[in-house]
Amino acid sequence: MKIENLPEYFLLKNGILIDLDKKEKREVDILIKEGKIEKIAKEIEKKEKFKILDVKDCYIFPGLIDLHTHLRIPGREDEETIETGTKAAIAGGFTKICCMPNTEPPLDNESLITYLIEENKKYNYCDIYPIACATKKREGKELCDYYFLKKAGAIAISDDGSPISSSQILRLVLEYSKTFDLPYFSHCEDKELARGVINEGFISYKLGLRGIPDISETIFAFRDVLIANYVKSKIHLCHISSKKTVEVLRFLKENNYRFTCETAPHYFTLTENDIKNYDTNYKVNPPLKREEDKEEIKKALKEGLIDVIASDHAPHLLSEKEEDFEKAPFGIIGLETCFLLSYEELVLKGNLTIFELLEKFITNPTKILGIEINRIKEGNWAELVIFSPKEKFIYSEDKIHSKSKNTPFLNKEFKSKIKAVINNNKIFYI
Amino acid sequence: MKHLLSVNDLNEKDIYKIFEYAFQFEEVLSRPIPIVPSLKGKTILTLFYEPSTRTQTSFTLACKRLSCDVINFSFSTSSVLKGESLLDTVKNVLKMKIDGIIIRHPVAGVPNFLAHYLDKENIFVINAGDGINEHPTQALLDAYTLYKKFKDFRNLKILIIGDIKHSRVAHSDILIFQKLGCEVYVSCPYSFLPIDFEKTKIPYLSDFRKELGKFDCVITLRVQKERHNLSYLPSIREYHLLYGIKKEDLNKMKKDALLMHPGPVNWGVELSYDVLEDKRCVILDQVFNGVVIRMAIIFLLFQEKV
Repeated sequence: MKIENLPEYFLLKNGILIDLDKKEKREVDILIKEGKIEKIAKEIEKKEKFKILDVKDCYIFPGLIDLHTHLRIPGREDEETIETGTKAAIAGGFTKICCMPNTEPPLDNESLITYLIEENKKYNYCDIYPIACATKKREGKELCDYYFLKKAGAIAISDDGSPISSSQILRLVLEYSKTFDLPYFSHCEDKELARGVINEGFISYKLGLRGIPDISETIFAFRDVLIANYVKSKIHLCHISSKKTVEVLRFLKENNYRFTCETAPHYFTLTENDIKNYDTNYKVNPPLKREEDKEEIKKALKEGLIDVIASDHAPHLLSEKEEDFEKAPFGIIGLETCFLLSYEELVLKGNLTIFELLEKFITNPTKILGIEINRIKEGNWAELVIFSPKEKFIYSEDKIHSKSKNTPFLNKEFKSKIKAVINNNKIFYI
Repeated sequence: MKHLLSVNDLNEKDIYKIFEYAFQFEEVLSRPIPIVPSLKGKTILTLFYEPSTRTQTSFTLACKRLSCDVINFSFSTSSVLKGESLLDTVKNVLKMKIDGIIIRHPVAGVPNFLAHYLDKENIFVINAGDGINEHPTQALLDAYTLYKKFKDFRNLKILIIGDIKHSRVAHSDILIFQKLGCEVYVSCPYSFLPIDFEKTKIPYLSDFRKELGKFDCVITLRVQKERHNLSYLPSIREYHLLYGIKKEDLNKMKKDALLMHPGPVNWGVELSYDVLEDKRCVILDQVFNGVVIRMAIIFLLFQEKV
């Protein structure tokens, strides 16, 4: 990745602006002056002082937002650092990432939230929105100080990975968080039931691996939405992966229950059939499901039932991942492949339009977080992605910006490419 | 009024009558020998199934100022610990020739249960707090404190801050202030707000500080750590910062507003200690008013009996 400060005048020539509001594509030139969008027009005349980048055939859209990044900071800087993590985010087109609190120590007090935000200022590649713990040490027992956490910069709360098993504690979490209008991000998993490493079924039998019933997700998704609606609090369900969960959520939505939810690209691009040779780069939580689940997730994305696509970027050391299937940790890196996989699987195959896809990456995440989209508009800071829908891109190891390399998509040839990102008065050439 | 179980047992006229008598008893308490022989020969039993110092003392004192004999029966020394049932207690009381009972119990409805059995025996029951349900004498003394200051309840704006969900004081206060024509507001974290509270049409303020200047009275409730074993609050630090009344909050309040608390105060939680010196802080006046209000209630209940 080449990172440069923007020159005083920077002109993007011949781009295709994706207008999220009007849902139209427009051929435009965009002039950026001192990091701000000075002018957008069909044609902007070149001047000598302009530095010019020809972006012919490239889509230009606002920076993407990831609701689900494991940044691993503090505590696991061997797996990811702020520098590598935010670089990976930029490489994937994300200019804002929400980082999960399952760190060591967990993000359950305001000093750690402040630390993350302050550390990120040293690099300032993309914005970090920390998600704080819902309960102290993520133990599901005592609530955290949500007021202080929010004041320090926390955007939501979650005990991600350690779902709150007590319905009573969850109720209190949701009631107390409502006081501060902090959404609760729910990792839906009945841990009592989910004692395995891959999806339970014929494949787990064939491989001789302990299975996780798909309903362990469904049960908690249903419970959590019911509790949140009972106390009228905001809930967002993370990484929905199964057909049964989608069916239950569809029922809830039809009955006017309020919630939002996300999925991750691996749940609509991979299935349990892809787990070959016990490759732990296919070990994720929730586990990969069947073909029918994958199709149902795509359907739910099309319907709008699933609001967001998030990366669930989960870096792990090679030494940890290169273990037996039981011992290896769950999770794969995803920031850099998230949008490309989605574009290829959903837009190129005709499931979603580019506008619908960008709703999942920009419009809906901002609504959930209660923040504004930084639109590509004259007067706004330039925060945009230059995306080439036709250029090939091979995700080889040297292209990985994350500190960890645990991905099932290594060496995959993509049909499109994120060429560059402009953010914080810098241009990043990917 | 045969018993005092709930604020709902009282109409506006009853309430003002209680105030009138309470006011007269204030004069009694100012005498060198602050006692009247009104209830000589009568006997009242206080049954406290929950630890209490000030309420029980206040009732005892009220009885004694009226020359009424009073027997205190409290949880730690009683046969409740030996497994006596509520009905057994009733039967025993009937044999003891008691005129009235003052009861505090951790379960809502127990005063009603007693009243049901004692009614036909012409024994009155005063609810001194039943679970998270009601505490009508506290509501009366709070209203009386306000009455002495403003004389008229109409258009008074009252803010109650704290554990609305688990506080019997809040429950009874809301009932009495609404009955008297005040505008009641509440503020608390949502974990302290009863479900469906919007049905009461009482406004919930998420940031009461913005509106502090409009209230005539602010009532802060005790954080009742003993009443629930779950963490409804993450920390005292956060609660005090957000919902505790401090000197700078008093500065935003009206010059003639009142700051009340049913006591005992957790200093540094509901209130910071520096509010005590402000003349608008009437917590100790409430204690005095509690005695005369209870004298009035007991006196009137005896009048009713005859």
